[in-house]
Amino acid sequence: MTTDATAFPQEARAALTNARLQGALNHLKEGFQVKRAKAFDAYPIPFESLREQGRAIKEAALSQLDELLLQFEAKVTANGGKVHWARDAAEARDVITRILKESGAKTVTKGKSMVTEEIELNPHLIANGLTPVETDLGEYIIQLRNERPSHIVAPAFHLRRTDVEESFREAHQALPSSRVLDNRPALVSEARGILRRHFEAADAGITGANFLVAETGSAIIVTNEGNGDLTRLLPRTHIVVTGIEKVVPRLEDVSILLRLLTRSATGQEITSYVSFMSGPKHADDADGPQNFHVVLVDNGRSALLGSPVREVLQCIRCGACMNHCPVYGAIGGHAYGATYPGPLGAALDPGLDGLAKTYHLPFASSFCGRCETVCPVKIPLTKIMRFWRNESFSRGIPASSFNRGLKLWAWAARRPALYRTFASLAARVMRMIAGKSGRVRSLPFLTGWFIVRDLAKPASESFQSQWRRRP
Amino acid sequence: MSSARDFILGNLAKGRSAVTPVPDYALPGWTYDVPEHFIAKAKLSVADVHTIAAPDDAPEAILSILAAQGLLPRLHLPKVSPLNALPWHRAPGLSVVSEPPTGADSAFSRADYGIAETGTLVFFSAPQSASSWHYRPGREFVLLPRDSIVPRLEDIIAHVRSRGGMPATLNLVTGPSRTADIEQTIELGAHGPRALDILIVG
Repeated sequence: MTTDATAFPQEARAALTNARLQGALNHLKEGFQVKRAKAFDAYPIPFESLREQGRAIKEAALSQLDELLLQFEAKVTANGGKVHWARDAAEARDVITRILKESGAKTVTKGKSMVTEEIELNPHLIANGLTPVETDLGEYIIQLRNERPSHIVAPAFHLRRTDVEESFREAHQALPSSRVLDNRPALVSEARGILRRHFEAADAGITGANFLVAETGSAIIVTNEGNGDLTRLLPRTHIVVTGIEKVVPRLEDVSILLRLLTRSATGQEITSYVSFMSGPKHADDADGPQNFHVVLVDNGRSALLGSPVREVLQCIRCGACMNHCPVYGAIGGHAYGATYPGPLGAALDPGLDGLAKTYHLPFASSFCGRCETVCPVKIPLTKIMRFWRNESFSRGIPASSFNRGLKLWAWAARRPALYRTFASLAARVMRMIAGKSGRVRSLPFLTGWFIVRDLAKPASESFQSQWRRRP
Repeated sequence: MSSARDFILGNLAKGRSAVTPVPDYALPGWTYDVPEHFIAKAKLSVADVHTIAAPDDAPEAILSILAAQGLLPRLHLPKVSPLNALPWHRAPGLSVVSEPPTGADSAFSRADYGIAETGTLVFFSAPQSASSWHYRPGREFVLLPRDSIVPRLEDIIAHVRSRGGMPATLNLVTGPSRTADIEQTIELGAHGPRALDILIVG
């Protein structure tokens, strides 16, 4: 599913009247916001000082990103693993497919990874005769439904229990059709049984990484289900696919960022599982993969490092910005039409996919700034969205009536006499339209505004002209 | 492939800024009783915590927990585990088997450390310790010596440094496996154990 956010206004409008989605979005407050707030309130270090540490770690990491990646590569190699570099999505897909073919793999289990969504890995693997099976429950459900994640932490956030039952009945036809699946434990248990067979049969496992540590060559995954660990530990080959911005210098940095990540994402002090994976199994280890590969994916990131949106690379993908965003809260993730929805997506997607496909997204914000107040690494999201708005205007993307109108207004605003004449003319027309009712309920060219709003009748004389008459 | 590497490193070199030092973190001083805090946090993570006087008491403790839960008196223990040396004859009726557990079986292992801040168990991959066994069974029993409990993850990191580096796999386990992927409601036992019993020794 290629990124295309050009239909964002229509998609957003459709989302507003999608009853199933609106039902799910009601869970955002209880499910995410309240839990997050409680988790930070209960911690002895104040959120502001903890996230200042988080920001400083990521800033320090970005300031020496090339050095850290080289150090990481050297350590992974010394640990017996192999690091691969991929400029873009196509190169990443090819590298992964080559590793799988060389290791003789046919079936592949996958842990949750947004980067593999970004590079659209699964369709490519299938086209190459490989069978990828998503093992995170949410990812598995949306794989069965051929959908994309609607949330970066909770991919099947938009679905109801009954949708999952329907998908399971259709996909698991070998099971008796009379079985009872009308409750969550039954659904979780069925997925557990089905996916366990996949884990045991898999030739290779692909996971993402929440962090990479330069000093030890470790990839870290943070999960609650344990699927990422079964994905790494049971097959012969483990491949980590991740973005180049995930590396931090030291293990202690991960310890600080973990405290921020799990509280911000799900309100947990720590998730059930956090795993540090630093290479293939040692020769005499009881178990573990024989082959260990890390694919470092650029896909537009390195060009952002020296750009005005550099700070978006600090992101640790907790999802707090979308959980607290009134726009995401109203329309959900799919309407964005891009890999990363919400404020993060509005700041990152134009950098990864180009403005031509994503120009609407930086406008999907009222700049209320709630995303910034909860961001655990203090990314100036509204500043970055404003930058993309400026870019889209100055590059003329899109060449729309909106941009032409904005240019006309800017031209007039620099000519005060002309501007005053037009303003007083407009005020007179609006007073006529308002008449005795005192409200303006419609104007030509501004139909959108008046769907849910009206305007007050303008005063008979402008402030400026009253000011000039002052004694 | 070196061209992709050169391309990326070249771009990154262009985007380089003055190196900012990572500040030293100011964690507040530790003021809790370490094992008691561990126990309280582990219970919050929905683990069951039991206290036994000595490792030799583990077989009877496990058998009685299995019986109380109405579970099969069978325990999976890898051949390589030193726990095979415990006096299993003291738990008559409990069979100890060495094949890998399925999602319905019970397994037993020994944690290298406990972390009090979060009630977390720490496992290093090693010849005597099968990492995958923390994720395969339906119920995991874990032996944890009281004096192996440290305040924070930072203390584990210090140990990693002093032992000369990371193992191939280092697993942190806090409570049983869970998922909230269906309607944001937590269900235990997504892929890993549905239940976790921690036996604290001493």
